Amino acid sequence: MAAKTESRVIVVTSGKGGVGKTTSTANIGAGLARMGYKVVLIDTDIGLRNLDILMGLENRIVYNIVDVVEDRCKLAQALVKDKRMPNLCLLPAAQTRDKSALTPEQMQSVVTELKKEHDFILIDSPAGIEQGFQNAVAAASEAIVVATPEMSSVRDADRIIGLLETKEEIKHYKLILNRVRPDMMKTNDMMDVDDVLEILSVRLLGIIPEDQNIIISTNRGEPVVLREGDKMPKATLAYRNIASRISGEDIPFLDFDTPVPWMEKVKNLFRFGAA
Amino acid sequence: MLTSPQNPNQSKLIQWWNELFQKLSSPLAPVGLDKNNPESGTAKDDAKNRLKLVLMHDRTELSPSLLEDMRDELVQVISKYVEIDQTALDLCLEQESNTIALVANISVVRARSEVL
Repeated sequence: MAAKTESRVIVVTSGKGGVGKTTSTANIGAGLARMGYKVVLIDTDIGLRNLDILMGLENRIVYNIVDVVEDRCKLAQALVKDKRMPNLCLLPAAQTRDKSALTPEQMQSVVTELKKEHDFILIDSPAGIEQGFQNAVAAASEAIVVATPEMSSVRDADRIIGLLETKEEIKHYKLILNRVRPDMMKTNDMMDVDDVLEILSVRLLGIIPEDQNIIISTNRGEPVVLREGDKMPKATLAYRNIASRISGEDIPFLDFDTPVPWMEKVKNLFRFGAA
Repeated sequence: MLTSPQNPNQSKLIQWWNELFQKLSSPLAPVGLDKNNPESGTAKDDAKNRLKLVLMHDRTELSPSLLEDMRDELVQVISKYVEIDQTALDLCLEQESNTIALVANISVVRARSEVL
């Protein structure tokens, strides 16, 4: 990449836990690195770190972000280089401390330092709206809100959006709708993408289908976005598209068409008949 | 409707058929049986309607109990001027595009002669 442009600092947040913040951070980061950008991922979930596991870097951690702010090491020493791409690295959270070990001001100074060397700084926020969230948001100028099409997740996302609105530093935010089930949406058993967008009145960054490949990838410590080959998982394509959209490309949203559920039911009927 | 299963497989089939029959015969019939919301139909609509209501309260930070307090005070104030049907006073939050409105529906019996 030629002369370095202004780095972008993006926080990935959701309010509710378990909706895919860390998975999204890992995949968007790896997706952007795959495109050639210099990317650093920051895990701000002090005490409950997991981004290292998703990246497959859990055995390489020596220092963490709390060691950096408490001057036990240099920032460069704490950065864990990705084993696949040299332009991707991770700043891990401390596992044995709590959220009060870090302040918003310390986050800002760490990020200011990281901006010198990186195009994208992705900050993985912990669940909740307390100090961990405040730390994660403190240094960011953009936000990605992750939600699933479930009531509790959408409600918490609405709360997070309300809080993001009060943060002057956050210039804009967009939604990733995760764990989308086209089959259940078709049968009106679940809110669809438009329903969630209408309720939250938010702009869409991407749609990730429910995909068992995400679990397989997590188990292998390799973000699903990095899968190659002809039979690429839908989630791989979805995360690649999100990375491209963040970099400024105009990519249409995927249409996850699945077989008509009624047909499946009819097939099941025949299976019963044969038994 | 089919009844009296002969074996487990058949009973599953009957259950499935009855569910199918129900869906086909009344696609808009309430499945969640949400009594507060006669319009509710599919699980998706239930989720949307319940969520919209919850979010209105979240966004205004008005809990149902606070709304109830307000309702009682409103009854007192309005009753000073007009005789109202207190049981018919309905106070609720409504979403109109981007704004949330506090809507009171009050049925007036008659004006109080002493204030005229």
